Amino acid sequence: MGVLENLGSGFAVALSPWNLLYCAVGAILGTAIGVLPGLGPPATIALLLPVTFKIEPVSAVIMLAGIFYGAMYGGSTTSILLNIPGEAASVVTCMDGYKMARQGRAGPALGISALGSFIAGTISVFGVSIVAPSLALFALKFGPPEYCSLVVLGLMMAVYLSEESVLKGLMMGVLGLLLGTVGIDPVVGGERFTFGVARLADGFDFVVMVMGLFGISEILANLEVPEVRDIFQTALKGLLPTREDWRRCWASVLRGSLLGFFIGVLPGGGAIISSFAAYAVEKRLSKYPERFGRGMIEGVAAPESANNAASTSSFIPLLTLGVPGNASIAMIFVALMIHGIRPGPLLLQEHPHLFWGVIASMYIGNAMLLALNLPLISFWVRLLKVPYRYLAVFVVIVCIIGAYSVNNSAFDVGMMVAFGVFGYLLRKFAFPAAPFILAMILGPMLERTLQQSLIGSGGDPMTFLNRPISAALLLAAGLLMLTPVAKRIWKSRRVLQRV
Amino acid sequence: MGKSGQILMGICFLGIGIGFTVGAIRLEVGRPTEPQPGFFPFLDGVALIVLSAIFLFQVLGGRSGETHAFGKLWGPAIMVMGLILYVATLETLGYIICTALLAAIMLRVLETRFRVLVPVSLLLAIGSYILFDRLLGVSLPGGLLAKIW
Repeated sequence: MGVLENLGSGFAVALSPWNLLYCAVGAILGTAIGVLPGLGPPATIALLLPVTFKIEPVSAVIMLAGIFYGAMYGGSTTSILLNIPGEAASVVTCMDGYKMARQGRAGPALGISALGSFIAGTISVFGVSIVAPSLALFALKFGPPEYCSLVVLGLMMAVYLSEESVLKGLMMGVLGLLLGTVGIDPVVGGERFTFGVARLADGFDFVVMVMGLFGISEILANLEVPEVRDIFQTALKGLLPTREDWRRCWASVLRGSLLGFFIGVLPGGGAIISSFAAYAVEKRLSKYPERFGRGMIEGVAAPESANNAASTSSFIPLLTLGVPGNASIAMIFVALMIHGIRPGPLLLQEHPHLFWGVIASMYIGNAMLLALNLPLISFWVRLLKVPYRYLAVFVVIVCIIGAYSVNNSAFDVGMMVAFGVFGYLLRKFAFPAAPFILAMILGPMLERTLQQSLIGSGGDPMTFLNRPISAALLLAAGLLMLTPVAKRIWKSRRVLQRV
Repeated sequence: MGKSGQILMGICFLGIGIGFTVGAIRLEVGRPTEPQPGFFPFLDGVALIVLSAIFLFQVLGGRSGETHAFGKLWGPAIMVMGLILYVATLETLGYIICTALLAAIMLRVLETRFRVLVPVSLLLAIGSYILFDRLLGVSLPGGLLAKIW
């Protein structure tokens, strides 16, 4: 079957009444959590995982995916109106979006953000439907050494692209691998590092861990500083950008979409990096770079398009290689595993309705978000006026119920609190959490493929370098790790030359 | 707090690395051709020891790296203590009482006035109980109130 026929069957799945409902719920919930600071997409997806146990896997992934890309839409609203990014991916939107709001142009800023996001999301979904099947076909050639090297590359990308230092990222990654070994070991099936705690036999629960690391830690960090929220009072009129705005923005939207798509495909790449990269590219290409940061509409259009394109294309490594690229996608990986579906190259053959149904739902979800968000912007603004103190208490209560409901046990609530404190300290000392989560999830796969490769090659570690795909992946990982060192040497040489 | 905190973090990571390495050796490491349960944790543990050592050398050498300043610490500290008490008493006192108390503590930390704090805490605790336990079927601990009624 060709791509169009497959997409057709995907639409048949996605357009069923229940899946449409789950798609709408996901998109609206995603927008709400994108708008409201306090609970990001990974924690929300984790929170809703138990809810998805009782529904069809396709519906579950459609809803969770909707939360992920819906949050990208919602995140820009707070950036533009409050100068507070609802999502990390919308940080860069504050620079020009908030300035536009102060100049009385909040409407066009919100409008171009929603329209640019829709265009980018659609372009990216189209890209996913073209690229994903070919990549899945290619990945069928992978054996254990290739998978092992791929996981290493994925983790290295997550480390390299995290905002903090590479060394800290590596430490977090290795810590994640270590904590991922807690539970039943895959060799002899005995308990490992459980210290006699029966609850740890299945390892740390991802739902509990993610809610602690992303939900509770955020609240703890916000308790340090008094609530300062200044919603810029402006009449929201003229949400549709003018013809002049479109003339200035169409190329930025396209560039942002393409850049976001390609960055999102990379394991470890994602919405945050793509939005910064798109902003930097626009500034460099602009005839008036000095006007960026003072209310340029291109400075809103490009990053918002890029982060939406990236959030969609980041499904490619998950669906085709079985390697999640960021914490939110990692939670969707967990959701699939809970339903007994192994993401990877065989997903397309074994569960084509899921693969194409999810892709088609993204088309529909993007259209829903556009249709819902432009008329609902004033509602989201009103929602922002709810005092943070009530929101914070509500988030904590929801996290507690979510953690408790996993096993009906206070132990899990305790684990969540422990991970919350851990996440708070990580924030304070600038240790990135994303490599930790990814390493914990990918750790068992890395261990299994490493052992299979070594046993298969008679213990020869050169097997990873003797196979071309594996060698190329490892080479890329090595180059990534050497880049910061090379940069430092280059800088110190230049300083020496100047002296 | 910046440098000393980073040193403390480095020591913690180093300790975890050493702990897992020792644990992996006790589990038995094996050989590449016959890896045992300790094989993978051993490799990771050694890697964490090396990385933590490099990190500590960097911090002690003056490259402390980026940190985010701590604000008023009493807020998070009270919240964490409240959460620990919550976990310890949840099964005994039950969801509604524990949640109302936790909400009250949190709202007080967030500078809410008493006359607002009490009704809001009760409303959040009872409202969330009705929503999740009664309507959505999440089984929350009844505790003391369940015994009385």
